[in-house]
Amino acid sequence: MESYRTEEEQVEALKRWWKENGTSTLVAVLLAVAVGSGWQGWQARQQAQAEAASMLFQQFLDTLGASEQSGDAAAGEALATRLATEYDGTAYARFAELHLARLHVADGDLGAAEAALRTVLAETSPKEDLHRVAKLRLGRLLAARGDTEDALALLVTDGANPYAGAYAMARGDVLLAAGRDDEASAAYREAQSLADPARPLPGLAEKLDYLNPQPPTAGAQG
Amino acid sequence: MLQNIRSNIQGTLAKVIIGLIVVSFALFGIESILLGGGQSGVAEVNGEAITAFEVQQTVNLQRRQLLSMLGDDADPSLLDDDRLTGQAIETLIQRELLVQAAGDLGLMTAEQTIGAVVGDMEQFQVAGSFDQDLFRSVLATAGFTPALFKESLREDLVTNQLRAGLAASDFATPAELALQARIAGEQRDLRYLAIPVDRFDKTDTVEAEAVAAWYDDHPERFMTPESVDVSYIELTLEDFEEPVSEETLREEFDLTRDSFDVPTEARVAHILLIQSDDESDAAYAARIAEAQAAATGDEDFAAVAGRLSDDIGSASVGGDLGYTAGDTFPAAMEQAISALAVNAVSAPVETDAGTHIIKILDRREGKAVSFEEVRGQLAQRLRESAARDELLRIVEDLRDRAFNAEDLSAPAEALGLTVERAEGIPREGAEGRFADPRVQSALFSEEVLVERHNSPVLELAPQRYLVLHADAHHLPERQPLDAVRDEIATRIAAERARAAALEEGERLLAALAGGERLDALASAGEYEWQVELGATRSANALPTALGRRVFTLPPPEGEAPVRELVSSPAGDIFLVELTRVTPGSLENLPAQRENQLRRSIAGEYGSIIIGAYEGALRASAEVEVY
Repeated sequence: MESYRTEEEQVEALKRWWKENGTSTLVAVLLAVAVGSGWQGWQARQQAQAEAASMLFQQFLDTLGASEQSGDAAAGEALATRLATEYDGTAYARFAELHLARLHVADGDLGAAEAALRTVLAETSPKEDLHRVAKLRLGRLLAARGDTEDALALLVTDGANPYAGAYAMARGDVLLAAGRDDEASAAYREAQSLADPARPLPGLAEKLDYLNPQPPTAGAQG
Repeated sequence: MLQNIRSNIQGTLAKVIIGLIVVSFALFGIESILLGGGQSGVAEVNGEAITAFEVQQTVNLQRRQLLSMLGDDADPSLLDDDRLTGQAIETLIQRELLVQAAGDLGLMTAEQTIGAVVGDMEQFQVAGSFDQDLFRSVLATAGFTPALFKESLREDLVTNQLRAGLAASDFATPAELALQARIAGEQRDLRYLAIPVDRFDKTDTVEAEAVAAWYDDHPERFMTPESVDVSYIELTLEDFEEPVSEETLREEFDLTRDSFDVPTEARVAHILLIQSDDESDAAYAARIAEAQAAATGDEDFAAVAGRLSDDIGSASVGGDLGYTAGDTFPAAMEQAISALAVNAVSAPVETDAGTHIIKILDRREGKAVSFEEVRGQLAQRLRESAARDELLRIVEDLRDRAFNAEDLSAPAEALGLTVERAEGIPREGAEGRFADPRVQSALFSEEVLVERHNSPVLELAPQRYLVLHADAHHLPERQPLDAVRDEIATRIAAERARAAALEEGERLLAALAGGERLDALASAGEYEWQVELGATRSANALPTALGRRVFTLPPPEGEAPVRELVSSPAGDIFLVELTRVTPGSLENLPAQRENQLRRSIAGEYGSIIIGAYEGALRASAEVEVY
């Protein structure tokens, strides 16, 4: 630490320092301000973007409730398409694609539904939940078009997939539709063994009953 | 000390440290130091605490839901606090996990959406539009602040969006629909004969030996519950209430009559004039005269007050000071007030504050209360206060005596109290005063039940006390055969009836196989029989047990029907012939039913998905419950 004897000396020292370093200091400060405000601006933009997407999705959900009664899917489809294109890359856009797939299936346009699901698959990595969900639905869609083998190939799971129960149920549906009852029955059993007891699956139980009739007890044989 | 610090911060290290402190304050604010740590959470989910307040809110909500679902006679064990708390914590953990997952996915709720949702909620609306005061008061009743409520709403909305995105986007493909239609739309034709078990129930034919044998074979049955015979003293306020003499009542009335009287009150307005420091006496007097003239002139008093009064507080409200019962203002002012009639204006009145010109706006006449009017009220007050003192004195005395005595008879005698007795108080399901958990835990404590000490004097309610002594303890023991003979006979008869009904069913089944017809068998045995055509899994008029079995039977091959015996849980036997199975098809399904199927297929897939999603979140989360 230097020490200065008089105020003039201090002022002199400051002036000297400013002459040597003034420009670089100014540049550094300006740069810091620019970066800081840029970062804040970017964050605010992101926030506004996400909020807008959220509001649009909320609006979409509200139309769905309404169109459930009227049977008019066009308004929902328009909103979902807007979400998917304008907010590309957000989770909302992917949700919108999943819903578009659903709306197209309801319309009977399986090709468009497949395209929507493939978009989600392309935009997500294989371990993501949305990816696994989209893959499951794509498999079911392929089966509906008659591509049984392609569908079964998509619906294979490894041990780490939390959706194994749903995949097994879908395999059962594909196999049963293809007339392979025994394999279907095994797949349904697997689905049932993976099911959460707190979430009853009456449709699955019906299919199992259907595939596994219980012959009459011995005394009743006519 | 400051000098010390100043000289110490000359070093480079010190500067660095201070720099760091400055930076941390600038970035994180003082909250980071004041509010960090010290969480009072019930559980922690990935580092986010679940507070006791949230748990309590959830418990209350669940209890309300259960009560509204089950009504007042709901099983109390369902409403048990521990049980509900456990469920609530689990619910909140699951919810927190979803909230966090939604955050990770970048889901959020716009302030606008929250506003719109709150604005639309009917419970916050008065005459169809949102009311801020109602909003706050409804929340306050439920223990929420607006910020907390909005936060919880925000969480509801994002988790709902997450569910809607993942699960509600599920669908039913045409192939799946066709498949489900084949099964759900399947129609089965059948006929059945019912053998009611009652017909074989003959309680009076059960032999005494059979009853005795059953009694011997089941030594663990027919135990009486554990119970206690008790003596107890109960004290209530009414026990000590005694009539109050007329004289005492009069005395009390004279002492407290002021509190019953309604005083006369006058509503007063004034114009106050204050002499300022640089104002001459003459100028001040002129100002007073001007105000006096204006106040008594044609101009409205309130307007004059607004224009001329130096009392800033009242000038803007026309000089209005509100009501006085004669003790609000300085004596000089009150004197003038009492002398004035309503709407009259006074001459200037001097007080320490300055000069007042007073107007009476209104006068409410007071009322003196008569002795007769308040007599009942007074008597009750006196009775209760005397009784309360006596009760507390006795209770204190009883505490000491009961603690030192063998049983309750000596303390009761000393204090002139009555000992009551009750027999057979069970450990669970006691009634009345003995159902109180404090009474139960005192009665079945080691000291009272085993060592036979008197219980402590329990305060069951304000001014209601109870002390207990256990006289006899009945351990569970087996009821004698004679006491349960009828019960056993009924049970044996029921067992025999089930077997007989089944045997009858088998006999009829064999007859059918031998070529007999169902209707002929029914009329021969006087049984009811029914034909059901086109029964489906979801729509049929079959008894539950029969319906379930019919749809798991294989379809008949060729002409011969498939026959089966089905017993209901009550023991009734159904003899059924399944004659035809027609697979369902989408074409034959009504449009409404088709939509129903579509929804149930999508719903089932969606339900598995959201369940698996939540399960995976839970499995990979760090959850700690304290």
